Amino acid sequence: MARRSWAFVVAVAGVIAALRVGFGVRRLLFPTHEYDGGDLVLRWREVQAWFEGAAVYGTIGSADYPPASYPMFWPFIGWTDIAVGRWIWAAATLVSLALLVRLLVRESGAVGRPLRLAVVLLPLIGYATHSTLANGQVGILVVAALLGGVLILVRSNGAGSDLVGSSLVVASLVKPTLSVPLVWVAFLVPKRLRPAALIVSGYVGLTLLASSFQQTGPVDLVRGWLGQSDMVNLGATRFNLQSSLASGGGEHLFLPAVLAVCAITGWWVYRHRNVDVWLLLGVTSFVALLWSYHRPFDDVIVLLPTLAMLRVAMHAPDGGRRNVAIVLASGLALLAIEHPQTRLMAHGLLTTSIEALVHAMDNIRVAVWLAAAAFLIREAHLEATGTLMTDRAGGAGAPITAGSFAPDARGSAAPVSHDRPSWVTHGQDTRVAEGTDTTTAGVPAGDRRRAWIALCLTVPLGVLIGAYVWLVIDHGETWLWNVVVHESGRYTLGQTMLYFRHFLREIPTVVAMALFVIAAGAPPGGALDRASELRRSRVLAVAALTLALLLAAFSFAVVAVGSGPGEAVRN
Amino acid sequence: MSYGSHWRFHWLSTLWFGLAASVAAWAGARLFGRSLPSAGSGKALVVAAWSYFVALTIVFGVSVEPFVDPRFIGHQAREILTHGLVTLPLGLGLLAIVEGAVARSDPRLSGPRPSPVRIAGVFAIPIFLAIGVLAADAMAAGQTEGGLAAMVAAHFFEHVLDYVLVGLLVVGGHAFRLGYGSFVVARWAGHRAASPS
Repeated sequence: MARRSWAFVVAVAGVIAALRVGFGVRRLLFPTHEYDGGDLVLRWREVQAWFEGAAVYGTIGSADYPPASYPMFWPFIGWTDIAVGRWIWAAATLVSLALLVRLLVRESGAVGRPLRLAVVLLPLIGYATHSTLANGQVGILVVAALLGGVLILVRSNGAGSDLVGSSLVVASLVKPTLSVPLVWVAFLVPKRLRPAALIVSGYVGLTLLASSFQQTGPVDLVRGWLGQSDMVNLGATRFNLQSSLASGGGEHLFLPAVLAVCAITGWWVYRHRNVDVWLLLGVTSFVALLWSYHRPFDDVIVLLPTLAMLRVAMHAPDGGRRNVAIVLASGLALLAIEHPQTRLMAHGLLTTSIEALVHAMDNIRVAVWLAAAAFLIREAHLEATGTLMTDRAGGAGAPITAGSFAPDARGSAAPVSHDRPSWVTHGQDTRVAEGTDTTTAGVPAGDRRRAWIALCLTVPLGVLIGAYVWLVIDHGETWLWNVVVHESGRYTLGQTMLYFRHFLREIPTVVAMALFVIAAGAPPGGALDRASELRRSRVLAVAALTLALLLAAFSFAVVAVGSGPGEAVRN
Repeated sequence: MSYGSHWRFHWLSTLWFGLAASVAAWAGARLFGRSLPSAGSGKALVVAAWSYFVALTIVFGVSVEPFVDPRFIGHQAREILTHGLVTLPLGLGLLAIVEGAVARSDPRLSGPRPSPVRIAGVFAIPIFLAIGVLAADAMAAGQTEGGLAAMVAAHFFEHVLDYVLVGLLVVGGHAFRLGYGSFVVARWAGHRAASPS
């Protein structure tokens, strides 16, 4: 009987979902109202203006996307008219939706057809999906790209997968107000520098590419984009940090407040980087929803915390927590189905009482979000402190971690049983896997070493980027390779970087610095005794020292050719 | 350009680098790894590094310019900024990477506890240079035509080849020590045992 009732509910929900998706696509492709595909039309106008070199910020009121977003829009709508663009956009959104559904089903770990069907319907039936499709918005693409990118980065560590995962994360930054808080997960959970470096360099590259089509430089463009927030109508949005500050006359505090929220989120993700990645995605999704203004279509990101809650509901052995998770998951799912809007009043269809209903619904929605966020934060805390145990897939007492759903041989995320500490499946560090090398703080030695390496490499990278940005601001040009930047007023950046004559003089100092570093940082005792390690280190030593010699010899040759051998020797 | 002037132009900043490297490695080991006692073969490396520094100082000569000449003072302050923020962390990071990549059986961060004199030096030298820069108007003495950005920001890029060479030497030097260390020690010990004394 229960099975029949469930089948009936799923069938009805399926029909509603099909109608909603179908109606959304129809509105996008065959508009009958200005709202139908309205946002896509706005983006199309902005992209056309952008690549024609016309001023966008300060001129087009709707242009509240950062410079890097416009090259991302171009392949869809930049090269064609809007009629064709609608079809391309619809196809891209539907493909992303299909991939998102597949990812959600796989990640849910749902067993049995009814439950899997329910997870399938979750993204299809909601108002946010319909609204995203109908308006030509980017939410579905953002969430699919972000989820795919983060999962690839967290669960693989090859160069190719890092490139694919980072590219997807960069693509999700097309709408940074929706994705930035979640990007912390991509930055910090993989515990490798490469993804972060790829994401940052990819985004900076897109910004520079975009600015090359405009009359002003990237710094002015970013300023122009930030200035666009003044043109946003916050009155139509529900509770969020931006509208709350604006209502209290604190618009000028928005940027520092957002930066503070962003920093706190990053700190929190860092502190919990070893817990189930879905808990992190769930919490950061709520941050994304509440830190800046969003229209209802962006609520598509609620899918992530909903699934995180479902995972807790399915796997928590503690009955109390499981029940709370079920209630919250149901609340999130039900509130995602419908969203009455005051806009309907303008059509003369509804009365003032609807306005109260809308506000009440929004308040309830935000209250449930906050409760769900608090619950997920607590779950993450319990898991991080080791007090949370689950009975997932019979793995006795094993915490659910980012590695809990390691792809199996078929590429699906089959649950795995944990006999070892959670971080074993997370990284590749099998020697710390034996659990013998931990500090009193309980942090694995491999993690600490990676954190140290990340710090040591990030500081120089950040300093060099900062120095470059300083020079960009000082010279008012983006590409400085051929711009004179040297203190002497003679050398361009390229010549400064390849200043071989100066480098030759520096070699004695450089050797001293290298010796100091080795003497200070190399552990005493040093020499290896295993044949494979000896071979590896000898190959590395010969290769690196040969390259060092070649660099010195090449520099000598360059100076000798340019200024004569005598000058080279003197240097 | 007089003989040895380039070495002297960097004398205080190189001295600072030697002190700061040990303090930074120790701080890193305290925060991210295990702090190890300053015993064992690590001491030989420290002696070798400082011997090299002393030898080159003797070879290139000593003068009071690093302490009194505004041009020297200003340049050394910039060098500390550049190498302290880029070369030093880069070198220590590469060292940790090599340690993990090669010595898979026992990767660890280490750093013997530096003496109070070293720690004091790490702070005293930049403070002295900062006072010197402000007192002697080292900015005016600099050869700049492009303002502070050219003096400071562009200087980071003047040392790009240095970063590459330091990286290669750190990787190669440490890997050499790991791969050939026991061989060299054994040969040296054998030689000592065989020599009449």
